[in-house]
Amino acid sequence: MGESNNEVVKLKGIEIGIYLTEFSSINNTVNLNLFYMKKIALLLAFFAIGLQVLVAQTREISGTVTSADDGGSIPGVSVSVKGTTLGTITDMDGMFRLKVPQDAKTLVFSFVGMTAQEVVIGTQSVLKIQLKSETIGVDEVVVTAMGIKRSEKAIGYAAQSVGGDKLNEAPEANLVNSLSGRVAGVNITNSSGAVGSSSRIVLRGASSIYGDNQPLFIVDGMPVSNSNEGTTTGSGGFDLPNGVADINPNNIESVNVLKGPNAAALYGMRASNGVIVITTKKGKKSKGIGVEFNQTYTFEEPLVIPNFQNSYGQGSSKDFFEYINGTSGDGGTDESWGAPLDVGLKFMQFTSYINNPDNPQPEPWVSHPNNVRDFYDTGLTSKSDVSLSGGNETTTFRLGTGYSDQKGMIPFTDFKKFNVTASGSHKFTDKIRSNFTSKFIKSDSDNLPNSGYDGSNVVQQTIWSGRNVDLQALKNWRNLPKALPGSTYGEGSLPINWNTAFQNNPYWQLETNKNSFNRTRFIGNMGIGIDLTDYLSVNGNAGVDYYTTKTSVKWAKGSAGDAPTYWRYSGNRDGSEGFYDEEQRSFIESNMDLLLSFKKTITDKFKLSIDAGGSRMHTESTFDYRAVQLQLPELYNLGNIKSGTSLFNKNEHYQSSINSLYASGELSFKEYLFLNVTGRNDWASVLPAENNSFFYPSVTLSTLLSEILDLKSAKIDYLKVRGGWAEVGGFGPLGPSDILATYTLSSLPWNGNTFGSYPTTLNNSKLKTQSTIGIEGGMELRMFASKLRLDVTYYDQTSSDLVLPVQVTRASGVASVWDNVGELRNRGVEIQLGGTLFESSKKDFAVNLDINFAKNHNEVIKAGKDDSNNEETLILGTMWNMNLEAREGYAYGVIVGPSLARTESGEVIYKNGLPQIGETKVLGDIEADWTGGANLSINYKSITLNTLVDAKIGGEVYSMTSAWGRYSGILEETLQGRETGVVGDGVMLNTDGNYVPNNVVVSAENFNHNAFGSEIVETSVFDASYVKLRQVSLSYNLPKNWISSIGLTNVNFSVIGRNLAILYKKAPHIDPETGLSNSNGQQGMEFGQLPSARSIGVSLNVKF
Amino acid sequence: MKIIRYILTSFIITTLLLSCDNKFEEINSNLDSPVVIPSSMIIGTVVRNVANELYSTFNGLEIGESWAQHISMVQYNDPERYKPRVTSMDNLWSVFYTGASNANQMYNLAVLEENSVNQGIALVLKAYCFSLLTDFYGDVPFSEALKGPSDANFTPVYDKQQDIYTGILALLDEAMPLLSSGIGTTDPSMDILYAGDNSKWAKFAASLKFRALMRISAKTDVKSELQALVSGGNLFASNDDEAKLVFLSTSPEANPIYETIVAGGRGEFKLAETFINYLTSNSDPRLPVYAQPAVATGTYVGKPSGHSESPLPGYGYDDVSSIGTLYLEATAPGYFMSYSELLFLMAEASQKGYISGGVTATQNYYEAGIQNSLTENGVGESFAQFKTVGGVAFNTNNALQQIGTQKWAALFCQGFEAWTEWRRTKFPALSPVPDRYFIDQIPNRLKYESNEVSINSINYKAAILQQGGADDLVTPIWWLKN
Repeated sequence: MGESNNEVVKLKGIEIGIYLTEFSSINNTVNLNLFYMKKIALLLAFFAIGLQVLVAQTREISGTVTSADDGGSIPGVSVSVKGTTLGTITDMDGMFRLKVPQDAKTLVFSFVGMTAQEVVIGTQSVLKIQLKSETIGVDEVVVTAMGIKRSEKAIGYAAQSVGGDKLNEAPEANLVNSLSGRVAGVNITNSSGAVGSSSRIVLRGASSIYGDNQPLFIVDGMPVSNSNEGTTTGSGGFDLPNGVADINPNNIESVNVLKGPNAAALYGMRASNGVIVITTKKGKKSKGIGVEFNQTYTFEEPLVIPNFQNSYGQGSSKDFFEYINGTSGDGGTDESWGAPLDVGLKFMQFTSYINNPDNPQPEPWVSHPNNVRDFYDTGLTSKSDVSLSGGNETTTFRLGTGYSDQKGMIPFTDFKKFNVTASGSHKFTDKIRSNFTSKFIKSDSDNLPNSGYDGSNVVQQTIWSGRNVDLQALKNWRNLPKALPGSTYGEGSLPINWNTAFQNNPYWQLETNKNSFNRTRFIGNMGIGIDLTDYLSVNGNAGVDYYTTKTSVKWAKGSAGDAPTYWRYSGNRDGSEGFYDEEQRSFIESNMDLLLSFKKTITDKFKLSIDAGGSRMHTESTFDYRAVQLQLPELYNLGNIKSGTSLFNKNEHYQSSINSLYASGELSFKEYLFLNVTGRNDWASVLPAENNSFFYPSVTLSTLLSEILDLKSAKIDYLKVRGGWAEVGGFGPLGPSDILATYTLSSLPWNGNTFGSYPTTLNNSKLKTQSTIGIEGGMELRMFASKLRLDVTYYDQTSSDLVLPVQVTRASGVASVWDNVGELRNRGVEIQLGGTLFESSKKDFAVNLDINFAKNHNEVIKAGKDDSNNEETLILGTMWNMNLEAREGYAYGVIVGPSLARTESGEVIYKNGLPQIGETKVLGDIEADWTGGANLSINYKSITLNTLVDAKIGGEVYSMTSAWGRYSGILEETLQGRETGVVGDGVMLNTDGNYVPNNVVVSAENFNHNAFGSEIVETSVFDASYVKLRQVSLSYNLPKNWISSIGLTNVNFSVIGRNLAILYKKAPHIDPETGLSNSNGQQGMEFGQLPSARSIGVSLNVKF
Repeated sequence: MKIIRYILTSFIITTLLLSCDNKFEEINSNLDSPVVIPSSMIIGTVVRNVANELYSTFNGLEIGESWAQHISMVQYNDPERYKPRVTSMDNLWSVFYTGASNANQMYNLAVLEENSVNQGIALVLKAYCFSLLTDFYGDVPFSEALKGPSDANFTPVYDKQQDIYTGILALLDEAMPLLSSGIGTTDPSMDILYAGDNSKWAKFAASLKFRALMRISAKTDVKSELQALVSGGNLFASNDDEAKLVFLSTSPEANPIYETIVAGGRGEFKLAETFINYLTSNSDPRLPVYAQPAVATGTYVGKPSGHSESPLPGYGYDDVSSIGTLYLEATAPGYFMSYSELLFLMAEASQKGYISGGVTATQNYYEAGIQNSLTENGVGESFAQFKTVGGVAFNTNNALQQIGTQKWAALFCQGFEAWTEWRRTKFPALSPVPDRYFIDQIPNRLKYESNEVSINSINYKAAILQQGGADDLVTPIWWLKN
């Protein structure tokens, strides 16, 4: 190669002038797809290098191949003499030299993802070729289940991929959020804007009632855990990121979403909710070491804050207020039904004691309209990534490291993530190759905010609140007077607060009482592939996902309210003694698989390929929870246990295995008809021994009508029709040891004595897996040189024999029993429509629009075993009087609770001027009617503008921010009738027994206390629809001729924004995209939402 | 040949991978929980959980005590105005059924151990749980209850209260001879009620039976059974015998009232005006024990019950009397049944002629009830003077009202028992609170657990029909029906 290098250099010297003159006109369109095409091709090129055949030549042709899209040279282009086997490929600089017979007339240039070009040689000896990209290549290779490669046209099911570049246009801390609006039929709910919050992802719809309903994540061929170990419920706790949030988006090459059972069948049991296949970036052959550097800074601010009233202050008296100690009298009331603000009144307030501790004086009773907004800090996220990559013919590598540091909008909250990744490949011989990837991730936080209905959720203080309260006055807590005598919380020891009956000073609390998090994780895998013959190869892989998570909760003495975590286990409600807890988990999953691949052309027309193999999965996990009340204040150590109390101790161990055998076969006919069949048998240890083997088959058929019918004249480039049938299974929430009945030992001894209790969940030795059977059909169409792209899928899948602990009456002696009950059906359509709306003739200006749309109809067909009872229901979660249920005949996740009493004609019934409680019934559901996203990208020369809008229309949310905000008089709606009283719209029972219009005037306070709050759920259920401006990014590629002079190959500067605006919503006061966490039972309910974040920033990407 | 070797190797590896199948049962065995435990280990579970539930401020105080008008809330007084927290009513259902279920399993374990004494204890605990359940709700599952594990019956029918009482009495009848059989022993450290003293369990069984009989005495003839219990001489004989859990000094095993009010700083639980008025007008020596003087005035002031204004002007936190310090102690006992309650029940039985002894016996039981209550409250020395106070001095013409009123006064902080006995006797006369939410009377019962309508709906609906009303707070339970 050394010899030819000299020539190349020389050639380059000649070519460079031409190159630069062409630059301005052809380099300006950035086609991001091409980036990947080139990479794939480059990989193929490595295999091809060295296979050049030396033949007798009589004439030498040389030249360069560049891209018509961005002007960049294309390595790896196949150059061949038409009608012969003579050929070569272009080198790293897109150059080639080829000796051809004198009589050679035509050269063929071909490259995956680009339109092949035939060039008549004539008398030329130096050629300059431009290849145009085929936006989606007909022969594109798709990596399917188990890493098996198939050509795209042979795929008989819906799969949609998102390039890593899309995910990194405006990076999100949680990878799952980056997929919002990108993929048809993918439903994403980010729990909140708190740093480290979880996100829920559901493909198509819920297929399990109590299982987590989230897809299996496969990273570089191996499953990785996406579990969420947060503690959030409606009554407190704190959220943690879901497991996949550990994956650094910057290392991602592509994400492929296998939505339905057909795509996922080969993954068996664990894939009943679909599969998300993530491929990370790998090194490639290069002349030197490629270096890439990324730096992003974004600033976060609350997107939605409730609309508060600013006319009346704390208390319940119209003309009087006195702060005595924050507990007694009106000053202890955490509601705002008090005296009018900004009318010249003066009262003793908490600020009186701050401003003048020795001689407090009444202070003006005035509003602080921005007190809540100003309470939040501007969040700051800094993210840095560096990677090195390179390789030669036999070996490639990529090393990357990334660090992100987030400071939350909630004061004193943060989240840090550090990762190191390494991957590489090596070819020992032409027939034996190997590869590995490894990722080390450490994420930690000193403090994550509490959420839910709990005194330690600081947002609660803005709902149970006085609108006169200047929160800023509490900020400098170290220098504030102590809570006054008679204060319930913190008397004489903790800083003063506007209320000391229920709350601590919020700044003190956030800085002192901390929820810390620390996770260390290693994900690694290696593989070896051997070509046994030209038609038979074997691949073996082994991988491991290991992590330890440690969380702790620290509460100082004098803390208000219930100790949330402690409470979960012991029933203790009191946090005032202070406590410290530690929760530690370890998890390891190992996977091994072996795949034998056979590929053979049987006749000219028939080709057959078969892959068969087996795998073994084993997991082990431990859970340790220890908690103490404190002896010495502010010393957070398990040894600092309060005298006379016991250590609370919980210690659990789990393990489970799945063994599998599987096979997949493809038979193709003339490259336009493809039959794919898969089968997998799983043996799972968590199931009863006599019933632990299950077989899952699938079949798909795909036809390339555009080939059969030759539709080129109709401007149709590609028309594929596909259909399939598949069955997959799962075991829902069934975990290790769940089929055994065992006694439980108390975690907290009584005076040193350990008690035992009978289990509340009953086992079932007849349990079997649940099954999801689905059909799907679809078509893919590309027209007008792929300027119009359409992909439509219809699916209908039914999940039955769902494995779940059926809630039964406590009167039966247990609370639940494991069983196979229930049936869920999901039907729907997914549409992806892409179009090049405009493209200038020079291709330096283009407008592209990609739209996706999905409509899923979900129905709980059966929620129990009893066929005669047609409204059976299963409870998923609760919040006060509201239940989230799976109820027969409704969509999964109905909001159930007491309604308003109404007459037959629907009028609200009042008594004494107050609305009456009606029956408990279905008031809404969490299922969206449809979801969609639109990505508009505009390229003009080096500038790219990307905007992403996504929509979720339909479904409901139960907002207790509204319920308690109305009750406490802080929301703007509570101004209605403050002075005059309220007459509710409806009817009342007359003395003669007839309904007449309600005419009883009640105070606004009395009305809001009764119509809202927790008793009547209906009044706080809202339409959860939203349309969000999810992302806008504007990026600029510095001209290559500027940067190449200083040795850089690419410099990109972007201004980015995420979650910039809610363009449409109906739920007042909150962001309707919300969940207490990402688990099933915590959806569709909201209280004291930690505000979602609007994020704006800048990003720099440099390659050299 | 090389190829064949590779293929063979592949399949050997695959087979090895999958041959671990036979270890599955070992993999799935539970490493943390036992399949069988000694029966004694369950006593503490039931007693601790039941006591924590009964004495939870959200239950015993907000529901029981506020309806008995012992306690009134300065703020958040919805339950007092007959809108109890749904979660509290639901918890009562699940905790008491869970208690009964654990007692049931304890019985089964004790049978395997051939431990008659522990079988007896299990039956008493089961009877106790069912008696409270039926007194709360009326008709509840009983005959088919707890049969999920044994018979896979997860939708038990609701039995009529009348039949449940028959069943409860049978459980206690079965328990008493087992407890005195002397076969088997109880681990004293596990028995947090009686420290393994079986004779006291037997007395609890008999006294509980006396209480159950009195509950249904208006509906059925219980004379001979009451008399047999008195003649049997195995009822509580002193305050030492009574069934009470002495909570521990530190959280979270302290008395829940202490946990919430003292440690948790929830000061809104104050003495009701009705109760303070009774205590002051009768110069009751328990006044300074039950109540603290109001911070603002240094005098004993009751909070008028059930007003919508919160706080009610003039009756703020510092204006009214808090609960007395004895009752706010961490180690204040949680009563399952007190000796003085038994004495008042005996006085009533005697007055009604259910048991022998006539007027003298009535007066003796009545005064002994008062005396033991005063002693329990540390003011026993005032008994001689207090029994002469006008309204208190025994008057045979007014005996039932006096007995009822003194029982009510003695049951302070035993919220559910105070409310239940008031429902039965209607002594003393209490008026419904002024700002009521939905009903115009002091409640007759609690609403069923809110998920019953979903998970046991056929039987739930039948029970509502059977009780002849709606699932509300006013439908009278069987022993309340005229």
